[in-house]
Amino acid sequence: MNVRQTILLITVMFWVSACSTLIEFAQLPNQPVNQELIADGIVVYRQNYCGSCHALSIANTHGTFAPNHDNIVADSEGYIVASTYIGDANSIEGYIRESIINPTIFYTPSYEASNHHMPSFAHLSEDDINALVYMFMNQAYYQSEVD
Amino acid sequence: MRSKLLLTLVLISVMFIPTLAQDAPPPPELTGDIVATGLNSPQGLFVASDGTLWIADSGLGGDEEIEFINPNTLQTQTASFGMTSRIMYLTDTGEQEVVAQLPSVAVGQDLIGTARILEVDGNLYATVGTWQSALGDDASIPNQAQLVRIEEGEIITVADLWAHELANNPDESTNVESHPYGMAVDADGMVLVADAAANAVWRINPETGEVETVAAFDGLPGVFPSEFYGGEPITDPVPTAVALNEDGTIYVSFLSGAPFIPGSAKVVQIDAEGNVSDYATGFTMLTDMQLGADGNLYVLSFGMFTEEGPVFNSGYVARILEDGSAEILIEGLPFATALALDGDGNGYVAINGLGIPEAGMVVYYEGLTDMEGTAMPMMEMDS
Repeated sequence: MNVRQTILLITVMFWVSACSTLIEFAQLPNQPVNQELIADGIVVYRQNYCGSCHALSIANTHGTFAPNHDNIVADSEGYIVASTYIGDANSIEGYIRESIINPTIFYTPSYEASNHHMPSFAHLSEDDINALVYMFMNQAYYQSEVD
Repeated sequence: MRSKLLLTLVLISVMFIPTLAQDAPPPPELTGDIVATGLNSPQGLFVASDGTLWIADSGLGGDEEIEFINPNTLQTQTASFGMTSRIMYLTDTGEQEVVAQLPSVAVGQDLIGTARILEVDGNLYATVGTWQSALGDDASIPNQAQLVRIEEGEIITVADLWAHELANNPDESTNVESHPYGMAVDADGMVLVADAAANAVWRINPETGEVETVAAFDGLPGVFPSEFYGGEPITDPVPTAVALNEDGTIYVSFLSGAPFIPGSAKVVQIDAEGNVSDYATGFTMLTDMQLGADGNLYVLSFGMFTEEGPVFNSGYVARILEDGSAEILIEGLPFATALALDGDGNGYVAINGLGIPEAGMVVYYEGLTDMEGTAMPMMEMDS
């Protein structure tokens, strides 16, 4: 992929992501959101330098080396039904958990060619992984203390 | 995640393009004079004995496509290859005169070409390319992981460093890989090469091509378990530059591996017996190092990645004092990849050393080694 194609792809991805985010915000949670658990997930996310590679608005991270996490719910929904998906997850939550524990089972589209794939974070405690997954799943409803 | 010098190219090339598409980074406030522009990922600078500035430009791959099996995904992928990496010098009028074109490979988001250049006895040497065992024991692309000599525009292979790494793998990591980078020449005329992927320093006879291992380096404390270090939270040291002082002590700068924790980069010293010890610590992402005419070491920081990701215009030039402490001379550099000093203490710094076409520049700093510095904040790793 040359630079011109890369810029075009990123532009397309930007608009697709923007549209997905709008849809995500239009949905309402089915149950009260555990703000404290989301905050815990943000702490785990930052402590493990996920932001070096990923962008996640609620964690104030700006990495662009790897997929943007603002849209991980919508993106994951697409991945698990794609014909190219070869992982074991059958739900969005399951996919996100799988991508933390076993990230090499499936490479996010457009990042397959990278020689610098995400390492496994299976060493994290169950509580930390649960906090991360919950934070990703409920990021649209996070209310920071400054809000 | 593998952590090597070439990752810097990946990080920046992928980081920079979407950034431009959304929020442009703040422009750097450069205090030097721009003397070269339009470069494609400049990785090496060298001031020859006659004062000429030489530049090693990585290039952007090319029109030829090469299929390979991605060692991670086991999928067939295509690399772009072409002779677009350049070695050039600046003329008296500031023109860029290309003397040789070398292989440049673009695979995925990686761009690999000429790394560094050095003059030895009037001959020009360059480190070129990279290779790893996952791609096969024989490098199928020309001049990968080699020390070469440039003779009237021709590329002459001096030493196959991939072959030496494959046979020896002195760092004992399970990742067998070579990416020859910074160079220096010792009192015997031997060329020392810091290998950013093999995590070692080689000594090479430029006449015979004979290679011997000077030292290999242990991994650094990391954040996540590494498959290449037995699952321990260790990251690669990633040697980027090598320098010698008058008594023969060898100094080596480390970039550090992903996630490039601020303060985790350092300079080590190697004694005559090959023993390695810390010389100066607390740096971040060191991409180059030069011994000044004043006897001090000068290091270049690429920039900083924090918990929140990349910090724009955070590269710096620092002077290392005799006690191992450091003081910052120049700040605010964007993606700084190479440093060169002339005999009068003037300096050149390559910036925007990333994969964006024609974004690379060289900035001249008059009297760099005479600059007063400010104490570098202590930034030791806490894990």
